[in-house]
Amino acid sequence: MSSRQRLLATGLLAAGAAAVALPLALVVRDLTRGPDALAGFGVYRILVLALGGALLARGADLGSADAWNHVRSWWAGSAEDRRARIGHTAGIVAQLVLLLLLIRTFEIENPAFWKLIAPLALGGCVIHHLTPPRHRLSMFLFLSLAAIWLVFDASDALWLIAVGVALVALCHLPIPFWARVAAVAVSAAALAAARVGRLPVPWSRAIWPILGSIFMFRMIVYLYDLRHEKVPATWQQRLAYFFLLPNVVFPLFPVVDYSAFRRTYYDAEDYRIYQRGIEWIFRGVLQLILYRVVYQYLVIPQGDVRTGVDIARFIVSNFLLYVRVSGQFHMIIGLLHLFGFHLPETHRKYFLASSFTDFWRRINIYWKDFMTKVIYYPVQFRLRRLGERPAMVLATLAVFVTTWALHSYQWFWLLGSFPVTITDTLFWGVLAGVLVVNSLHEARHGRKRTLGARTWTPRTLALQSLKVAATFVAISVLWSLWMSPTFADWVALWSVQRVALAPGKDALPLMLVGVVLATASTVPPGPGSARRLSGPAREPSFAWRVAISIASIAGILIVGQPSIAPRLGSRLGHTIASLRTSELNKADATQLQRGYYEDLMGVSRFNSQLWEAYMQRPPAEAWPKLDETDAVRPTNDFLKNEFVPNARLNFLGQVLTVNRWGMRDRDYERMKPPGVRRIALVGVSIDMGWGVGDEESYEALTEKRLNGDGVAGGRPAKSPVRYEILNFSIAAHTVAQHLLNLDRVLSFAPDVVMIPANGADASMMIDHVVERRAAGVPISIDTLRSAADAAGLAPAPSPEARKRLAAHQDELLQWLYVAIAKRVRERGALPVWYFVPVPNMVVSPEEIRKLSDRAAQAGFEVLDISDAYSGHDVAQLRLREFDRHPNVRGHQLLADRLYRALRDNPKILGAQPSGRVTIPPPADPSRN
Amino acid sequence: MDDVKSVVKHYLLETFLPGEDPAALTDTTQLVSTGILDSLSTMRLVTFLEERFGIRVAAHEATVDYLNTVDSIVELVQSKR
Repeated sequence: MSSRQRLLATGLLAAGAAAVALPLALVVRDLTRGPDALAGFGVYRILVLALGGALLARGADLGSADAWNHVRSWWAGSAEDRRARIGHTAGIVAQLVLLLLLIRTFEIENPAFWKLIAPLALGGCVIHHLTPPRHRLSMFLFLSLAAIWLVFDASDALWLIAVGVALVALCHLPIPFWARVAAVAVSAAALAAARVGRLPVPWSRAIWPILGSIFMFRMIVYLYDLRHEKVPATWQQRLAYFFLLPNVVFPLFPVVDYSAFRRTYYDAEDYRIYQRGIEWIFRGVLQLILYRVVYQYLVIPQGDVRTGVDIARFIVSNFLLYVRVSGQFHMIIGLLHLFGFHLPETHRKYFLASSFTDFWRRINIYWKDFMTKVIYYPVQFRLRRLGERPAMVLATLAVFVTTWALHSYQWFWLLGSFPVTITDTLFWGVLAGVLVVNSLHEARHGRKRTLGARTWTPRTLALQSLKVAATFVAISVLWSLWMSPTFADWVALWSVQRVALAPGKDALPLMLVGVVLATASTVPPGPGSARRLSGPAREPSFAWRVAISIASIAGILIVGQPSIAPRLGSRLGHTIASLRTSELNKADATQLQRGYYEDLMGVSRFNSQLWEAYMQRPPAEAWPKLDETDAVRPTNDFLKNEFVPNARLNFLGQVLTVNRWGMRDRDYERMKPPGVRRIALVGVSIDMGWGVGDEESYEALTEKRLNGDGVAGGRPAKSPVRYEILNFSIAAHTVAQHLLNLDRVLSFAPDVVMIPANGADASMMIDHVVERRAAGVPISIDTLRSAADAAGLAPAPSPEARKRLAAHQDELLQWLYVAIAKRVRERGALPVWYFVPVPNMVVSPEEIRKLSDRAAQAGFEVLDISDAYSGHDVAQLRLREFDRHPNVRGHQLLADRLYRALRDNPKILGAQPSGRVTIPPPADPSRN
Repeated sequence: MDDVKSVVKHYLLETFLPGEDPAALTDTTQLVSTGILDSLSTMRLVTFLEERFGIRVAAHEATVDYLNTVDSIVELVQSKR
């Protein structure tokens, strides 16, 4: 060993040892301070540890003659080669840095990804590249296991890894292959029993979706390939195949083929593989941002579909939601490219499919390949004595029956239930039938195959565009069936109240999609249709690809900056701001808020963010609905329920106290004391203080602040008035119930009656009417009863009847508002309306303005506190990931904003006490 | 080997790529991953190989690992003769 070789090797070993020692020393230091030292072992310490490992491996490697000769030959090579190599590395690193900033700016997908796994993967891939090639798989495995450590707590992480290793070990027991398969099957059955709570397990519910996602399909592929494996894999290959780094934050994961995983590992120049990975990650980010556009601005709830344009918008937007899956898969496979896995693409311009078979070949290609490998070929080979076409038909049907069953199987592992619905069955059945017909047609007539670039004439281009458009429409319609909770809902979709011949402004997004698709359809199809035999098409130089990529990522990054977006105009600025975070749209947020979890499987599927929130929900007993507690009792009428006076209990970990009048509030005298200005708050769960303590609701905080009780800002100057805010709010009540409660509210002689809104008031009111009629309860508000009768709403409500009623929800809400405002004013009080923002529920400023205008027209004094969370990360303001009510901090912000709005409105706070003394009618406090 | 290769190439060109330039079909042209061979054409190719060369191809061999290029098809046939 030369002195230079020894010096370099020793230097690397020393640097590596120092890098390994540093994070470990920090752990030891932390251990002296408390038992939670390991919890602080975060992403940056892991990266330093990995870097230390890489340097140690490099240093040790340099001791060999081969490695040293490699270094010397590189150094002795041409300066041009060295420059090129350095340029490649610099280009890749620059893009990685920009991608990380982009992912963090747009908070892509979930906090665990953009805060932890993205920096781990994008930083880790550089360290992985520095690692000697023969140790890279070990480094990848280390980073993948570290990702599990980062996302889960220590106990869950260790259990997940232990169960995973045990499952892989079962596949290699020294027993016959069939016995190993049986052992895996028995283990899977035991895990399934544990998944539904039949078997106790020492880990939390949190790991099930990821454990399921890792093994539910890849274990099938693994066993299939293991049986035919010619060259045994190393243990690093086997474990790395299951513990794929991004899987820990992406439960919906492409079914990576085991042989492709092995075959494609560094099968091309490393920097080209990395560059393709970066381009796919960027493509994934773009698709995930596009998904947010569709999800927030294009999708409408099925119940809101009333016109022909609505139908078109509904079916197209629901199909377009699939870009989220496609975006995630691009992201996942792109990330794996950064570690040398040169895997094929997962989707190929699937919106531009020109037939059903073409669609099947382009969408979720990994699934198609998985099914072809483990179902189609085995069935067809077994049945081919029947003849080519019968075998093909039966094999195709077997694929679709399996696909149908495995989709439910997938949801079982992710959510713990095995949904089997008519719409699901119909969707796969129809798709199978159409594909069989399509395949038979191809078998009989063949398919046009062309070499190289396909030549397009105006006629062929027009024909192709027509085929693409027809396929898109047909798939969209079929997709809408799949997305419908029931077949009756899907049928109801097509019953329109009015046909809008001239598209209104609501149709603009749809037209935009049409224009994009029409333009895209003129792009020559990819290799799925046009056959290329002459090798890869001419592609731009590496430097050009890097330059384009850097410019594109930087462009999106700049536009997305919080300081830049507002300069593009308030509307565009608001839109871009709303795209920077992953928020539930109004319909899903409402559903989550109301706690209709039991209906979730029917409506969300993998196209909704809702199931992800649901996935994290604890058992029902740990996070009950309010009406499942002793704090609430049914009234068996249209009001539905009310608080039990003097109830006191622990609700969602907080003390919930109900006063003698049935309010979640401190005690008040029924008769308003002299010198008091009394405000009644009649709202829903947020206003009630869902999930926060008695003294932590925005109502309680605002009252304290108005009275200057130990709160900075204190009572308005020179005001001798004392304020009371009586909170009549109750979770899941609607404006209809507020009207019913009004007499009780007014009996406390308020000077002001505040009716907050949250943007979902109309649909929640309709849900209440439908639910009460289904419960056989008389609808005690004449106007609502007449509307329900006119809509044909029966005790077993049909989707069509609900839709007919919902068509008038805005008019009915307005009627209720007018009735409330009129009665409040008749009693000499001031009706006040304001919009309460729900964390992570996007309601546009235009919509809030529209709601405010309507409230003002109804006779309310309108306040604007919709900007209460401005300048704050709303994700930090919600109670839990699965419960988007505001937390304590959220309530503080709401109180602060409401206080300022009240302070600035003399009509509400009043200069003097009203002087009115109202004697309430005799009443039993326990019923009031 | 050359005989097998020319037979395979001839079959591919005649059956799936009629009228195309034979020179464009190289020994390493990707057949499965570019979509030239789909499930239907793969089964036809397998049947042809079995009948023409008197071999048996198993279901797990009807994949990209064995049939993606003319070279790999020839290798599969040679391994079974």
